[in-house]
Amino acid sequence: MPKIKLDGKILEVEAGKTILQVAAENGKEIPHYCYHPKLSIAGNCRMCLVEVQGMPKLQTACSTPIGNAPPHRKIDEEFDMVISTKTEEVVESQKSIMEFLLLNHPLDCPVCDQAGECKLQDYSYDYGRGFRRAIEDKTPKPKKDLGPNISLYTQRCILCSRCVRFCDEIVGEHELAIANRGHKDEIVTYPGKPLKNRLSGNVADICPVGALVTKDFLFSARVWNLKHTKSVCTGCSAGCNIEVAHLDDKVKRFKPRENEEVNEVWICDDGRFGYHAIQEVERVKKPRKIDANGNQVDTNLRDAISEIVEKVSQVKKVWRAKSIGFLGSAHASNEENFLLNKFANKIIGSHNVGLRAPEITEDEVEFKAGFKIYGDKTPNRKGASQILKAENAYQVYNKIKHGEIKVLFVLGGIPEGGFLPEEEELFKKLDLLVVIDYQDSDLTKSAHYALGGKNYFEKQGTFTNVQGRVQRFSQAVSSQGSFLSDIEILQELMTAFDSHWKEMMPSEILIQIAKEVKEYKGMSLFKIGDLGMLQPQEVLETV
Amino acid sequence: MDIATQNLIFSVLKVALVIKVLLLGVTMVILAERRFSAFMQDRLGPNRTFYGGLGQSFADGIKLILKEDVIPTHVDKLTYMIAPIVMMTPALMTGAVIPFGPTIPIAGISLPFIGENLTPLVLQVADINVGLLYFVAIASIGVYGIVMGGWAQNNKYSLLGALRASAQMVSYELPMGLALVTVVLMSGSLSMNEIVAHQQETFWYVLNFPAFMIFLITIFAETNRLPFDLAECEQELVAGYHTEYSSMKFGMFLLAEYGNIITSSALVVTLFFGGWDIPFVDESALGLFGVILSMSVFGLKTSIFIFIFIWVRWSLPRFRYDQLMNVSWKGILPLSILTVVGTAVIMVLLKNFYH
Amino acid sequence: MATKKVSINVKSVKNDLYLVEVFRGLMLTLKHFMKIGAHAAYQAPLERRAGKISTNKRATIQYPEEKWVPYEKYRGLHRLNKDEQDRTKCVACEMCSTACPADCISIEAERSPWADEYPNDPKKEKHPKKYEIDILRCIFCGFCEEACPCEAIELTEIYDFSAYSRENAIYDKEKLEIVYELTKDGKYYQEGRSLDLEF
Repeated sequence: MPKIKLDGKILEVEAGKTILQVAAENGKEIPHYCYHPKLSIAGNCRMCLVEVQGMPKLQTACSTPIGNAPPHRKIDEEFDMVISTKTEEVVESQKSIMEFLLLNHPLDCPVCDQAGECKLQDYSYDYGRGFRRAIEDKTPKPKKDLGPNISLYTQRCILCSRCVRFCDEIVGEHELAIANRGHKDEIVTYPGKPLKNRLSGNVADICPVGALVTKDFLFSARVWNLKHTKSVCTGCSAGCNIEVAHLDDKVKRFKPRENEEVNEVWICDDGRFGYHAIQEVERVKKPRKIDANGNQVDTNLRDAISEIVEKVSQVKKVWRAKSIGFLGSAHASNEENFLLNKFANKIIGSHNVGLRAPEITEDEVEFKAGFKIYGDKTPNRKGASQILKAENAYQVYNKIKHGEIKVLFVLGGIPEGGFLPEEEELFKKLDLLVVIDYQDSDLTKSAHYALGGKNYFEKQGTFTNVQGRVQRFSQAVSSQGSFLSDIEILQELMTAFDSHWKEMMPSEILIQIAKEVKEYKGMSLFKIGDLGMLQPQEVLETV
Repeated sequence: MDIATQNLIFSVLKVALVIKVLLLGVTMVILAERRFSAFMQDRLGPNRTFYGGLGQSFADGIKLILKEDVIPTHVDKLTYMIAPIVMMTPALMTGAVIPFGPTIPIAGISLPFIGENLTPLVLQVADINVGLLYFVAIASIGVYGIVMGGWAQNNKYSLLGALRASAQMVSYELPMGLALVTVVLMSGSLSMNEIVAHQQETFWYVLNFPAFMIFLITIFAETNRLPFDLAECEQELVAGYHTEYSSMKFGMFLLAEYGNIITSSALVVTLFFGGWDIPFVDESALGLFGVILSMSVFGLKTSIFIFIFIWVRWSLPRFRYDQLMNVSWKGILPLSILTVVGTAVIMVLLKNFYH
Repeated sequence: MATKKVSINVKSVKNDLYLVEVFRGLMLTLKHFMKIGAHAAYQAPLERRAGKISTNKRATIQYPEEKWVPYEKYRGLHRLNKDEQDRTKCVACEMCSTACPADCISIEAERSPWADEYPNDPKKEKHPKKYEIDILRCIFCGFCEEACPCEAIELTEIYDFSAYSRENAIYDKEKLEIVYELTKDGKYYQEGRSLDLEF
C-alpha cells in the first residue's frame, strides 16, 4: 500500500484511488465542481488543483490516482506521494479559477433558486478573491427551455459538464451537449430533441450552480427556509429514498437521498414531481356519511363509529362474521395493513381479507447505469401482501358478487383515488361500505361512511419495497385534512368494537408486526434506520 | 329658635362649606400640581379638557370611579377596605379647627328661617380651646391609613413603604410638636382663634423664623411629600403603600394626600402668618366687606403655601432613608429644642421688659 | 485617558445645611416655571391652537395640530419602492425576511408579468406575489432595509400609524406602495399628508 503525506498527515491508502477521494475520506475538503462520484471524471473545472511534490505543475485532485513510487524515487525515502492542498500556489490558483468562473457569472443570487445551496457561492466565500477586477461587461446569454421539466439559465452555467455526462452515462440518451467555443460556450440540446428523459430532474440536483433548475420548484421557496424530512418515495415499488422539503406545512420539492442499495443518488421525474398528486387533491376533512335521503353529510367520528358498530352488529347477528369483508391497500403502510388484519381476525373474527391494489400495467424500465423504474406503481404491495397474507382482492370481490359479504371496510390511499375497475358495480351490492382514505373521490363519495385519513407526508410508518427492504417514512407536515391519522381512526374503530383493544403508536405496531409476521422478525423503527433493513433472505426464499 | 339649634344649623353649614372647599380644592391642587410641574419642566401639562385643562381632575375622577375595583386575592380584605377611609377622614377632619375668617358680629340681627341671632358667627367649624392639640392628634391618625394599607396588601414593597412612613412620622412629629410649643409659648393659648387674634394684636409668628422653618420642614414630612416621600418612592418601592390599590380606593389615597396639603398650608398660615389677618388693616371696621376680604386673603396665603409645596416637590430630590433620619434626629430635633428654649427666654425677657 | 479626580467636601457646613443648594434648585425651577407658565397662563384658552408658545421655549408638541418632523435617518413605517416604469423594485429574494429578527415579513414569489421583456436579465423575472409585513411584530430595527440588495424596502419617517384590528396592522404590497407614493419626496410631514388607509 502506498504511503502518502497529505498536508503533513501520513496515510497509508489503497493504490488507484484519486487524491480527491482520499482527501474526502480523511475529512479534508478539496473544492471541486465537475467531479461527481457517480459520473466519469472530466477534470475540466480546474478547481481541485493541488500540489504534488515532484510534479512540475499543479495536478487535478479528481483525476490523479495514488500510486506506488519505485524505491529510488521515494520522497524522504519513505513516501510514495507528498500532496499539499493549502500552499500559496494552490490558494492563488483557486482564486484565479474562481475569478475565471465568475467572469461571466451574473450577480443575481437574490433571484437565483440555488442561492443557499450553491457551490459557486460557497467557494466564492471560502476560496474566492472577494472582488471583481474585470471591467468588461458580462456576456449576455438568455434563459432557455431544455425540456418539459428543466430550464437553463445559460449565463449562470460554469460548464462543468456534469449534466452532459449524466445524460450520457446514467440515462444513456445523449440529449445534452456543449456547443460553441470560448466565452460563447453553452449547454444545448439537439435540435428537435428536448431533454425529456424520465430522469431529467436529476440534472438540476447535480448542477453545482443555479443554471439548471426544475420548472416545478422555480421561485417557490428560498432553500434556507425549507425544512427537510427523511422519507420514501411512493411513486413505485422501488421505494427510492428521498428528502421531503417543506415550508409552512406545504411540500415544496423532493430531493433524492443517498442509498447505495436502492436509488444510489437519483430519483425519477415521476417520483420527483409526484407530490402534487398527493398534496393537491380534494381532502376528506371531516368524517362523512350518507344519510337517510341518500345525501352525503358531514358528521363526527364518534357518531359515525357508534353507528357503524350498531349496523355491523346487526349484520353480524343475522349473517355471522363471515359476512364482513376487509380490503387492505398496497398504498397503506405496513402498520395500517397490520391493524386492519388484526381488526378482521381478532376483533370481528372474519377471514375475508383482501389486498386492494391497481393492476400492474407498465413494464419495468432500466437505464444505462442500472437505475430502474418499476412497473408496479404501489409502494407497499410486497409488505401488504406479506402482512394480509393475500395477493389480491379477487376472493373478496367474488364473495361480494355472490352476496356473501354485506359489510366492507376499505383502506384507501391509492393516488387519483376512486374505484378500481369492477368495483363501482360490486360495491353497490354492499349494505355498508366504510372507507378510510384521505382523498375525496368517487369511492369516498359513494361510501356509507368516509372517515378521512392523512396522506403520507402527514403520518409515519414503514413500506416494504420490491427488494424486501423495509423503509420508514416520517411525518413532514401537519395535517391539511382530517385530524386523526388512518392508524388512529382504525384503532378508534377497533376500540369501539372491543374495549379491551390497547391503542398503539406506529412504532409499537411495528414491534408487534416483528413479533407476529416472520418476514419482519427483529425489526423496529430504530433498527430500520434511515437506510432501511432488508428482510432476511432465507425467509424470503421459503415464502 | 334657641341657641343650640342655631349652633347646630350653622355648624352643619360650616361643615358642608369646609368639606366642599376641601374637595374642590383638592381637584384644583391636583391640576395645579400637574400643570405647574409641567411648566417647571418646560412642558405644557394637561391643557385639553374643558377650558385650558380645568376639567382634567374631574375627568380623572370619573375615570377612577368607573374603573374596575380590583381586590387582589391575597389581601387582608377588611384592612384593605378600611385603609383609604382611615387615610381620607383625618385629612378632612383637620379642617375643622382652622379659622378661615374673622368672627361675624351678627348677634341680635334677624335672619330669614333662623330668626334673631343669639351668638356671633365664628368662621371656624369648631372653636375648641385645644385646637392645636386636636390638629396634632388627628393628623397623626393618617399614618394608620398608610400602615394599614401597606400591611393589608401582603406585599413586601407596600409593607416597606408603610414601615418607612411610620418611622418618618415618629421622627418628625417630635420637632413639629416642639415647633408648636414655641407657637403656644408666644400666644399663650391652644385655641386657633386666639392664636390668630394674638398675632393680630402683636406680630406674625413668622418673625420667629427658626420655628417657622422647622414647622414647614416637618409638615412636608407629615404629608409625605417630596423630599420626604420615602413611603411611596417609585424607584425603590413601585408605589409604596398604595401599590395594589386601584380605582377609587387609589383615588382616595390621592384625595387624602392633597387634602393634607391644603389643611397643612392653612395651618401654616394660621400659626405663622396671622391666619385671615391683613396686616396694617382693621378688618372689623370694614364690616361684611372686611370679612370677605379677610377670607380672600386667607385663601391667598394658603394658595401661596400650596404652591410652595408643589414647587419644592418638583425641585428637590428625595432624601435617602439614613439622611432622612439624620436630618430629623441630629439636625432638626436639637434645633427645635434650642428654638423652644430661645423663644421661652425671649418671651420672659419681653414680658419683664413690658411690665 | 487620565482620570480626573474630583474632591467633594462632604463634611462642610454648607453641605450639611443643604440650604444654599436647595435655594438654588428652587430658583432654577422657578425660572422655568415663569418662562413657560407666564405664556401658558394668559394663553391658556388659545393653547388649543398650536404654535402660540414658540417651540424653543417648550418641549411639548401639540400633536394633532403640530407634528414632529423626524430626523433624516428615522426608522418608521416601511415602504416598497418602485422603479421608473412604476413596477415594484422587489425581486422577492427574501433577504429581508431572513434578516428580520422579529420574523414579521412573509413573502411569496412568482414569475413577474414583465419577465418576457427582459430575456437576459433574471433580476426582472421574479417579483413578489405576496409581500406582507406584520407591523405589530416589527421592531423597526431596519435590518430589512440593510439586507435588501435592490433598495426595494425602506423605512420612512412615518411614525403615526395605527390600526383598530390585527388584520389591518398587516401591511401588504398595496399598502406599502401607497406609503411609497406618499413619502417618495421625503416631505410627508412638511406637506401635512396623512395615511389614508383602511384601519
